Amino acid sequence: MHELTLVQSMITKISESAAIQGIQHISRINLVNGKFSGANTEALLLAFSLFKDIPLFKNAALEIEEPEIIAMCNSCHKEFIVEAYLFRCAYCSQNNVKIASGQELYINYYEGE
Amino acid sequence: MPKIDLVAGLLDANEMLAEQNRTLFKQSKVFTVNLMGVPGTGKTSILEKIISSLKDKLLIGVVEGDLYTTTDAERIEKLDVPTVQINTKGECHLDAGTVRKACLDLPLHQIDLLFIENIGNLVCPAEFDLGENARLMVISVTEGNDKPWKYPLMFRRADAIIVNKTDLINYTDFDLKQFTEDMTNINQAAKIFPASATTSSGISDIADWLYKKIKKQAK
Repeated sequence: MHELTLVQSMITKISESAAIQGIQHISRINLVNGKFSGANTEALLLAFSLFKDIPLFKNAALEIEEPEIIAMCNSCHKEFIVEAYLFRCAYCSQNNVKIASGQELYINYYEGE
Repeated sequence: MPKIDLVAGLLDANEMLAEQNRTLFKQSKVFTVNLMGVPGTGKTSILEKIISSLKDKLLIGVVEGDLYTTTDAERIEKLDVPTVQINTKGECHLDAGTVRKACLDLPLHQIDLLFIENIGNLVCPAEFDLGENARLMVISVTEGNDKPWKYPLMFRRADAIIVNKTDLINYTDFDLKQFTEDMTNINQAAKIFPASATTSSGISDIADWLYKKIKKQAK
């Protein structure tokens, strides 16, 4: 549901940047949506399709990367990939872990002319 | 074709406002709790009980989030605590900007403990930082054991989870031991409070936990 708000924010940020850069047509947007960001990639793509009548975004392809959830163990200090939302160290089985990455949601870059 | 490295977060605006809220709450010496859970889980009923249990010791304020109605705010106002209603008119979560606006209608400097009752939803509110000091979640035994695995972000980010409607537990297949084990694997640090807003069981434990956190923060 809130993906529309998020895509709206993406459209605003890119439009502002494109105006400064003098870019009139965007061809590609690279978005990073970590697997634990809470935003759904399919819903982001659907929401983006609603903005395609804006001339700046008419031919823009939205690519979304989905980096894994990486956690760090507070006991053995090793990093591991969190599978199936199991926040338990893959090396020492402790549950006292902190999330290192995978919650990010940001525009990485865009291309246009 | 020029490539522009933007590296701009989609939640930057909310995070900036949440940071401003944190400063506002700190300056006003208010401890803020973001109360979340699905519709019908008993957020407002639990809140009524917590307020009754703490209002002789602390000055309490409430921001009530709701899509369209003012029913919950009317219930809370009966307890004689300052209450502000936010109607999001369809938005599925509260954001930091909306909360700030609502807070300006409250006598913040007189309040020790501010509850923000979020929109009933286990998905979207998890992502929107409001500048709160603690995230309190309500789940009820009638919702079943699978919820932490279905909504891991919300459960991972909670500081405490109230398991409501335990007076009905024998009529459901809810397994509290299994829930506690699952929570260890998702969010080991979260406190779990079995409770019932109907019988008031467990309410004093939640109130004590909150009271201690507030006193610790005030030091």
